[in-house]
Amino acid sequence: MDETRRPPRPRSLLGTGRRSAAADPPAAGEKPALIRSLVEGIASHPTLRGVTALRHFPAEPGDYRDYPDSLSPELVAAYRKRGVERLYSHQREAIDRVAAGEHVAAVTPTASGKTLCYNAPVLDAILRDPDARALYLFPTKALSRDQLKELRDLGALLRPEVRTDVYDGDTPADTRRSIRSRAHIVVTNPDMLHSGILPHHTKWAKLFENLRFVVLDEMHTYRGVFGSHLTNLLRRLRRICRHYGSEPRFLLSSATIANPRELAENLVECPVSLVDRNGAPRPERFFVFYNPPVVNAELGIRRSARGETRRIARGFLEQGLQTIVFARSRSSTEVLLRYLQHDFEDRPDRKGEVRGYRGGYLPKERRAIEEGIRTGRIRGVVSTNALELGIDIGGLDVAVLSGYPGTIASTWQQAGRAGRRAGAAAAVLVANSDPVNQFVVQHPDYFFGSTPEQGLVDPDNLAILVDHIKCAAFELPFRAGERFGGEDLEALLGLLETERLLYRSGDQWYWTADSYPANSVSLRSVSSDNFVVHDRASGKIIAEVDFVSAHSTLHEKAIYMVQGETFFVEHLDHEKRRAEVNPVDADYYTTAITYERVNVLDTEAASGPGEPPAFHGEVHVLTQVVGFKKIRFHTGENVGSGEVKMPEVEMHTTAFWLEVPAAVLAALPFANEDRRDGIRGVRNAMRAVAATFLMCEPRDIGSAIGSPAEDDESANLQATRTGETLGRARIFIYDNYPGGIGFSEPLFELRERLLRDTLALIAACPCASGCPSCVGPKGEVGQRGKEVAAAALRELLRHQAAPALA
Amino acid sequence: MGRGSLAERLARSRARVVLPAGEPDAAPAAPVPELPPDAPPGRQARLERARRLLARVESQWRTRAARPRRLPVRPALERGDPRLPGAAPAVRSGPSFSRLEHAVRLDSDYAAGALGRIRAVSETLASRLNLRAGEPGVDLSRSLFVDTETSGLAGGTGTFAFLIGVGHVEDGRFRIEQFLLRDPAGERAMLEAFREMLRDRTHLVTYNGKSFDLPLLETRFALNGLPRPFADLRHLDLLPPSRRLFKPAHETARLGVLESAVLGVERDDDIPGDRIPEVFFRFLRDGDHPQMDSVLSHNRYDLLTLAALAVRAAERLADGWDSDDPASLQGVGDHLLKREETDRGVLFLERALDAGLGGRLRDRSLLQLGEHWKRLGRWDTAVRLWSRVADVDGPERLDALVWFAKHEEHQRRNARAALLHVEDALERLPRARLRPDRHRAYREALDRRAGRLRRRIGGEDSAGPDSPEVGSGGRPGPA
Repeated sequence: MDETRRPPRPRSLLGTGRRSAAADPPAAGEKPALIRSLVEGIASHPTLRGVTALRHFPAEPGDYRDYPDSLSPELVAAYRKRGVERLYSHQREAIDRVAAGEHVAAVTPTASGKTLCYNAPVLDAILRDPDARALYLFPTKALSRDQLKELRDLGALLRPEVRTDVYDGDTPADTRRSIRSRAHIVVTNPDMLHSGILPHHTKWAKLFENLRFVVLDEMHTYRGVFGSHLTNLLRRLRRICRHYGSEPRFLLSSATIANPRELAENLVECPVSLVDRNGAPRPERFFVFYNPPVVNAELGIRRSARGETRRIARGFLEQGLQTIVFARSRSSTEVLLRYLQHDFEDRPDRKGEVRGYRGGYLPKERRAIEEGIRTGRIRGVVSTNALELGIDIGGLDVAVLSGYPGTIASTWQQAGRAGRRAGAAAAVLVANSDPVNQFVVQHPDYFFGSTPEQGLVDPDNLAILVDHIKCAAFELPFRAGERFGGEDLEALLGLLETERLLYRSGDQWYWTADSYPANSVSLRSVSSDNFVVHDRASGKIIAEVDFVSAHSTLHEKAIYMVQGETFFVEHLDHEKRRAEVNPVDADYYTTAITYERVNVLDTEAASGPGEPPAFHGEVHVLTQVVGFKKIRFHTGENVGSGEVKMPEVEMHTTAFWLEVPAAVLAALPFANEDRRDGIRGVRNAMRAVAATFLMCEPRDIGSAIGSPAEDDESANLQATRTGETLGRARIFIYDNYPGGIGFSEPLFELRERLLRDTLALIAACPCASGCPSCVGPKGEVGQRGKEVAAAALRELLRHQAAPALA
Repeated sequence: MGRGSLAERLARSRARVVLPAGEPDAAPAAPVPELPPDAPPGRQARLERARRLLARVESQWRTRAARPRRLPVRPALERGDPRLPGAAPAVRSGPSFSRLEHAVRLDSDYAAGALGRIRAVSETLASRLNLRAGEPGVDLSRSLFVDTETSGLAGGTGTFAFLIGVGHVEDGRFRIEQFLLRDPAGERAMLEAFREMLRDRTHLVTYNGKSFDLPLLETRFALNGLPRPFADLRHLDLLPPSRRLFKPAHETARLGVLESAVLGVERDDDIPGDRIPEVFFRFLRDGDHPQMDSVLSHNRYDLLTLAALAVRAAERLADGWDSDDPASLQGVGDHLLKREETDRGVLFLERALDAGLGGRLRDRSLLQLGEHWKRLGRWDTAVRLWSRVADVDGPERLDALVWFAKHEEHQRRNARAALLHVEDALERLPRARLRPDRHRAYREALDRRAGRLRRRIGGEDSAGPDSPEVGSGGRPGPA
């Protein structure tokens, strides 16, 4: 023990650039002052003009209530034994509302004791009636396991004991039967309910007959496609419950979003009462927005967000503050992890204090890391958004976000990972150069001033609805007069009948096909079809990778990274879904080069005469990884490339597309090559603007360029040979999800604003000739790409003013 | 992902391009949309879109339009099956399901007269088909033989049995009643009629019924709000004993294969099982299907074969000794040993070895026999048997090495010799081609054993001078 500790003094986080070992954790009492001084150090640094916002949120005291008399004394005693002496006001309110017979959604910040809001009423009901059952749905398996421990610890204190079990793909076959009949609380995920439980409901008769509560945690994750599926899944669940004569109550919880009640009511399709007055105490918090400095004004190049994140995180780690770094992708998680581990490698005794966390790590490893964070043994963690959800890792001191997470809600969630109940916490958002990041970091009031995103669902999206009608018909025959969703059910059943999937007899429709429809309906954009990564040296499986990512990260000759270690991919076996890798000490990593092609299948709507030609409809998208680039660590320079042979991945989806008529292209006073660059520039900028319109994750939409000539091989050949005129060009913005998510229609409706805002983005960008914040870097769009893009958009919009002809 | 080759699908996609492909320069941009731009996407349009969507996803059903249905049973169903001996069928039709009856004289020459011997198989003999000793067996001559044809193999509440075939012995005949669903709405009535047949019956025989037919029927009863049908019945699932008895000699326990291999019955133009659901669905919609007869006859054959095979299986336990076929002898011996008819089992296995049993069956038998003698304390005999296990990198060799190690460790108190065997096994393990989970189990067990032995040897080293005695049988082990 040190005999004296120096008082904290203002320190610079970014100034030194020197490497030094991580300090011992500071004493708890010192932390608030230390964090304050570090944050002020960032803000007041003379050479750093990159801080665009520094917000301070003072500590808030807790608002406490007594346990209600309605709760059974035994349960109260159990909670007291677990250290919960009193309730927060929102917990009390939730319990009271459930007691009053309402469906309840609890919406309070991270670590405010949300789980008690639903656990207490559920456990209370089971204590009163040991036949009562509850079903818990968590969006991920990891969250299920996390919750299981809490429920079992509580359940073990109660008499009769309340039995909780996880039922998912990992549940051993020999325990399934007893779970089905004996577990009071069944913890599972939507995918398992969809394909493993509902289609076998007769085996679950005991559960469905006595189902009193359905708990939906992390409700805000059920947005977009996943949410639309979930509404339909709940329609199926309630249909089965009606068959068994039960009518469960829904208890939901959510992170902060703009419209929690609306989302809850859209998911469960009945009135839900909202509990959103947080009674938990909150520590003092700081939020810093940081924009890396411009290093090349002409190209509009900023210092890399990754490098700046590293420096900032290192500064906090050096002061012994427990720090979580959120990266935007699995690969950048690994790169950042490697950097930070490198920074502390001169302290071998502290090896393992900085760890990575993401999907793809094996469950056991993830549990160990979570535990390490909770106990404080792990001082720094670099994570994808996998740790954004409510996995219990306790509160950390600092969160550094490398890149804007894409939505306001996610940003608050990630920032909320910093914050113990006492003390102080800081979050730093480091912007990268993509247009959305630049917009957010340069307009902090947009972020701090606006409510988070809405959770939108479109449960009557025809593709999704029809898929679930099939699943529902498989589960129980439909009867005339039944309702399922907002469309004309009988008409849809009639369609399925002519497709010979259903057979109508009297007033019932029966499933008559030799298939299991739930197997061909995936609730998420990510397929459950995973690849395993086999390390030949150790003979171990070191990771699992989902189908889509496997193509870009596990192609042969790729460098695959796990926990900062680099592995060379020797062989990818598609049949066996297996990659063979060998550990290698590489000084570079790889990024895949992807070829995309879109064909129009069906045009749903087209703009009117005189408008710029725009459409939406169904498309067929082919993507193929055709090569890769090698990028050197630290310098980021391109040190080589290679070709790979990978199969094409195809998808039917919906798209919005803009057509640039040949006449418009021809009218541009540029060479053909420049015109092509310009179109590419329009594509890049338009995609970014579309993402902000839709408030979606950037990966939710894809974009591609096509020309009608490409639809026809011979014409294409000819065009290439003659190389003289360009035909019209099409720019596609497609829903990156099979069947479509419903983005293309709103984009089509907003087409004029989309064009104008894209033009405005390009015109207002200070770069000389293209940068990642507008049309893309010069390397991609050429010397004149920016100029041509702007001209093409002006020409298109001018068109509109004079509707007659090109 | 999709159906058909990529090329076909692309062709299909191209065919859907609706924009005019005209020369844009010649006719400036006025694309002709499929829908007038001012038309709201009304219900009809949405339905039309849904139709296209479905057509794409479910293209296998695309071509045929539904024809009017004819519910009455077609005469085709009422014809007897000329290939089966026995009385002409009687058909009783309800509104939604039919009940077909056939009968085969027990003295027919089907399966070399196996049916005729069904009453000669005593309940005691049949009970020896059970996997474990001590459980009550079935009396074949009082049993119901049940086999279903279903709308699919996927399981779940959307899969149903459209045909339940039930056979039993009555009045010198093997009578077969078939319940054929002609309309899914009639399922409840059909199930109730089937349950009538179960009344007063206590014994049931199926092939793979434990995991397929019976749970599926249980689900159907539950869905229709009927009580559980099989709760109090004794049940013989003939598949597991067939695996033991017949698989060694015939490499499979599929009923169709055993039918010809064991019973010598050849079916002509039998319908492949995976086509059956499709035939039924067409029958359902069109009121008839030329192959529906084949489905019904397939089911009757399965029932006859089930009964005849049960007879042969039981007989094999009684007369198997007369066989000269080593694989058959091994099958019987293995079954008897596992159900703890130990003495007889041992005799069968020894005779199988004498008759020239080869390959992995031989090695497995050697292991089994060795284990038997070891249990009786006859370690020398056991070790002699285990040393005959072929010196190849298979799981049998690994097991033998583990036995050697146990023998050295516990009987001869020679930890070093034991460790050599374990290390030998560990070295062979990667080449043994085991399933990953078994591989892991072996690895963990071997590592544990090796660790314990090394600790023991370490203890001996510090305690006193080490013993030079090494190995048994002089086989080389890794250093």
